[in-house]
Amino acid sequence: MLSINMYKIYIPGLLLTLQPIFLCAQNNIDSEAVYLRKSTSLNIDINDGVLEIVEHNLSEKIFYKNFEKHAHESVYYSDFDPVINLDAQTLIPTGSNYKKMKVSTIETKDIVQPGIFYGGYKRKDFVYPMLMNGAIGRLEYAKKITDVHLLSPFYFNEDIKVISAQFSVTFPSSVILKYKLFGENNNKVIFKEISHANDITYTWTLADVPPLDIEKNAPSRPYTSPHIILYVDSYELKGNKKRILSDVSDLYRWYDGLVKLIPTHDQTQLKHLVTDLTKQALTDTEKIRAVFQWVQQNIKYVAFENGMAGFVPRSAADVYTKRYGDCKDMANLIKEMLMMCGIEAYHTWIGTRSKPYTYQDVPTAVADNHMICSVRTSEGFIFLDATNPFLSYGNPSSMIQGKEALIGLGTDKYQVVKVPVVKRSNNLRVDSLTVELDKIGLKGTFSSWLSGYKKDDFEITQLKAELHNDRKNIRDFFTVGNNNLGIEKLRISGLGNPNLPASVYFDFAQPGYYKSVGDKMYINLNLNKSLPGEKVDTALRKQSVEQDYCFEDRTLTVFTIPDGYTLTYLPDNISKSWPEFGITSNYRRDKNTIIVETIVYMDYLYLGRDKFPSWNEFLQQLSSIYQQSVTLTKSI
Amino acid sequence: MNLRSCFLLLLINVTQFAFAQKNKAIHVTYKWDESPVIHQLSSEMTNFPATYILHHRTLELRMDAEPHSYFTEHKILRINTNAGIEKYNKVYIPMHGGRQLLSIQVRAIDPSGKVTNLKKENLKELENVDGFGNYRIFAVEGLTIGGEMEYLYTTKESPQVYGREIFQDEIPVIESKFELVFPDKFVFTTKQYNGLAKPVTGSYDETRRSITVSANAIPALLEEEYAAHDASKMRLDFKMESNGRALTGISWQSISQRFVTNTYESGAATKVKKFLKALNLENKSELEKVQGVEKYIKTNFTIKRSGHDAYEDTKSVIENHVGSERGILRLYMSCWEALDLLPELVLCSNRFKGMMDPDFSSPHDISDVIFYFPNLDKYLTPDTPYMRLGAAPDNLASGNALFVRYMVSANKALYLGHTFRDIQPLSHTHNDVGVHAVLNFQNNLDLPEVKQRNFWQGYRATLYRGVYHYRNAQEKEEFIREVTLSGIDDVTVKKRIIEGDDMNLSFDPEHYFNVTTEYTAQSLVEKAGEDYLIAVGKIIGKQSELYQEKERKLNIEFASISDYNHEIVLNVPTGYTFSGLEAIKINNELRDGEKVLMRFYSDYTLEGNKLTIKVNEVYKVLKVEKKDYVAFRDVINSAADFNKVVLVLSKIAE
Repeated sequence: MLSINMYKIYIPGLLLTLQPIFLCAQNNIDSEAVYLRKSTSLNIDINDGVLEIVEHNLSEKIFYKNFEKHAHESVYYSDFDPVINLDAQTLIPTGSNYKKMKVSTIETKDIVQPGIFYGGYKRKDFVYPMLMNGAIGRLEYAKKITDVHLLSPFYFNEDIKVISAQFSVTFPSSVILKYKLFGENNNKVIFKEISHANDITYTWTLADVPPLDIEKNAPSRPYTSPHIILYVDSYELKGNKKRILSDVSDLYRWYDGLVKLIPTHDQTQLKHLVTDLTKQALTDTEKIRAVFQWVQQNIKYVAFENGMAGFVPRSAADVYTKRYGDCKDMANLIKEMLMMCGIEAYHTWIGTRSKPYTYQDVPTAVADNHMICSVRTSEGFIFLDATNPFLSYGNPSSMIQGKEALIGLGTDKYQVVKVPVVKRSNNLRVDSLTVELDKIGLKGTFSSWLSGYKKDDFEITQLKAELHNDRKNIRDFFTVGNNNLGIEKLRISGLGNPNLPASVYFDFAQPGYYKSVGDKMYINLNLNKSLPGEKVDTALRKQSVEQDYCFEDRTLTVFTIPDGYTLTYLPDNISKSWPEFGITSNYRRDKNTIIVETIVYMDYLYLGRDKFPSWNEFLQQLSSIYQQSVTLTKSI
Repeated sequence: MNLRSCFLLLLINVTQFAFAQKNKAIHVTYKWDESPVIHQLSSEMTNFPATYILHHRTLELRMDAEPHSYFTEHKILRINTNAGIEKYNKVYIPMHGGRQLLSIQVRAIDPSGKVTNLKKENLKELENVDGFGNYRIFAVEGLTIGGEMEYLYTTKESPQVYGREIFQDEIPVIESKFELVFPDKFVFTTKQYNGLAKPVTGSYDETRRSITVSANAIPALLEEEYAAHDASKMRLDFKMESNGRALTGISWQSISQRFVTNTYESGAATKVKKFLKALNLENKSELEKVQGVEKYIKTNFTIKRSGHDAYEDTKSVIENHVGSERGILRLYMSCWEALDLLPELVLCSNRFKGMMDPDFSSPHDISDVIFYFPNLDKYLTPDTPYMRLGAAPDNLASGNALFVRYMVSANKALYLGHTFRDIQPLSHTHNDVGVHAVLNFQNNLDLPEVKQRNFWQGYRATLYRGVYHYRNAQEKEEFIREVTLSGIDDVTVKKRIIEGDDMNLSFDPEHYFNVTTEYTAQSLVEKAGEDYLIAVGKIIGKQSELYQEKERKLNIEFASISDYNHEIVLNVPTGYTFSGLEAIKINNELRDGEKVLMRFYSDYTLEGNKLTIKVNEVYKVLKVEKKDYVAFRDVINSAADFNKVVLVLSKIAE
């Protein structure tokens, strides 16, 4: 029976709980609903020398059909941007006019987000009443922005088409604002500046904004969705310039001030641990490795991010006692432990790859979302991210490859350094198979050797399998043969030890598989035919394709020709490479064995639209290699 | 559906006989060990991510100035692996229904015996989490592999006059105890399920009685495929029979009666008249009336899954076109009343969660409420927007359902009676599903052109129409690809036509949802020198496989009824011949005497240059006993074997 029969219906209102920010796209040709307008306007005032910011939001959504899907609405907020008023209503068409119907029931809910144990995020939740073809849902609300450093980006697009999107800000002329536009179509944004007696208004408008595209393996929303990031450069107060975020140095000064708020707790026990961990270590590298691995293995990821807890790490001693923490707690713990060994280590702010910004683009908190610890070595900085318990020492986590790290070197001293992209040769999977025929099909041995991110992936799969009692994980991960694979004598080593590659060994039995007709026998010696991706529809696909890391897979298959048969057909050898990927497939005969060597590599993190034709060609090539069988014929 | 609250509200009055209790509440004296030590466990007990060393619960019903229940829970868990920490270190204590947390202690003991207590500031509160209500949450501090976590808390809540305690988990439990304590005037009854030890009833002290279940060495119950795992755990159900002055027994009759009177809203029928009038149903048949109402409500009303009162009141539901599951149910009831229709209310259980027990009445396993129209012999599922009058959802079929008859007279709902009956699933003859494909090799031997039609009837058609309707453009594309071309890599789709996606077609189970696709796929053909190997088996889509490495523990609970009928036609190219056809012939079945319950059968015919492969894979029942597991598995795996069928296409020797 089909393996995919358990479909659940996700009504958007329910979906929002799981995906609070990213709404889903829909077909624009035959619209079910459209935003007539959405606008956000900021009002900045100076009161008692302090900037006060209020954000006003207005949206009007017209409904045509499928009301159940579009009727649910939510407003998200936290302590940093509390909702100060909210009014929602449906405008019901009455021929020439509209009748207003106010939303009477608005519920407040705490949001549980994946990966955040306690976040302090909340949501106002309601349903537009009396929807019918042509009805308009009108939502108006205001929020107070409690910290001038934390202005949110404005996105011009939505899950459905937006006819008119507008963002504006009104501010005293003594305030200097900066902004930058990102995403596609941002050149169509119309900017206007109007000066009043004491203040200035900037307005950005974009008309006919197509709905957000949701595509498989696409980079995150900010890469393509048109949006604007606005931030306060500085303002003048009694003749003095007060800098907020003029450049990266201001951002750093603010961050540095926040880590200075980390409380000091007694570190005696932690010092004992560090002494114990490093007593065998001779070199600094050994010490760093020992400390990093201890944190990786002993501190579990549990995030409390309510209010300032989202910015200020907990003290090292506290995290050590609790044995859990979030990214910044782990980063700070590693830093403190290394400092105890006399090794300079630094708090480091970084945006994961979901953030397409540089600090130069936007020197604001929007640019980053993560914290790690950095250490300077003779070969440059190494980046320690203990949130991945399986990460090999020396590797950055895959989600920060190629990103800028803001390394805090001390008061007013920082450096912005680019994190390297890990080479494919460090992320290897090497499979070796010996294969022979038996009565029911094939039997043989399988072994695999995994390093770098390939090993991380396997460890994560194993952990998930243990968490969910999944007993098919080895079969699913390694893919040998086609169906109903029998596995025996499974041995796994190297897990839990970031210094070693993982190795996996098992005996297998694969019923069927080869095909015997008359005197001939056909065997496809590409036992793993999984493709590293899908063909891209070059006409439809809009966004780049993203993958987690570069890698190389090598497979060596040794097949013993059964007695009484001779080899009558061996497929051609093929080797083909492009700058971003490549394939080599070699067949040779050695005495009574056939040896097949295959190498597939992927050398990109992002594949732009211009590369899609060669990607499709590569997959085509790979498919045709995987479709090759060896022919044996009964000896006379 | 949020049903528990509506039963509770009514039951509370049975305890409104408050009198002062002089004895001390049990939770006041329940203490944990002030100097804990790590327990010694055998190695077979630690062969899991974690192990429950102790799980004690006490539920005391007290008749102080106001009656309340006090629930004390004490757990000690040994952590054996990293996954054990990940899975158990975060604790969520549900606080719905006005539950108050009176006290809580949490600690971790590491293997050396060092104790770390939870800092009070890290005990957090979550309010109104979607679909789950309020919680108190914490993460255990100082937890390590080989260490233990322990917590003990007491909550105070409204009187619990019925309830359920689960004793079994995915990890073993060494010592487990549940104690129900109540004033000695009261009478409680219990029933244990799935092999739980028998409870002991006796005096707790001079003025209190208790019912106690002690169960030790409870084996882990791991999930198995095609099984009702949750429903299979050892458990105890309990309920109050009498409060000493009156029999307040919770019977199926009282549950049915209360449900009717409580759900019915007096006078609401007049409020629906306006919109019913616009539907012009007056001279229509019963079938047309019911379909008309359902179609109108499901197109124009939005369901808000919420417990908020405003979503339950019929007046507000009609004014806003928004209602909770309960509000929508009431709206339908008002419509039936206004139209003089008399359906039965059907209280049902989700087969995978737990079945109602005709011999032990308890509202616990009532998961859904639907309508049954006896004259039409059809069900209406009010809270599922994509379903239409006809069969009941398959997860509610084939088990005990409580059919409640009622009528409305003088603005009152009168309970007329109830019966337990089986909800018959939609027969396999209305669940025709499959793929008809033609492979054409004329233009290119190693890249055949395929034209195939995938079709679904019955449950699948209804479900897939709903999925299709509620998804967004790209998701629709992915969904259609998954249900038509799974298991075939590198597909190039040339043309696709979708038919029968209108949700209103689900009124008639005969209607099909069809997807016709024209495509090529290189992976359908393997090459070996001059010969071609055609992977026809892939056409039927990726098939699930069953591996059972340990002894099967649970009976088989199947998701749905289906009758797969595939037909694959290959036109043999001139000058070529197919061989290896015998691999097509597969026949495996599971019978009950003469009756075929499940079967996989595939065969072929060759006429001229036309090779026709036919597959019939049928699942006629939803439940199979575990003794038949091997035969069941063979049927399931036959389809995976068929996936591997490869035909050889070679030149005819000259």
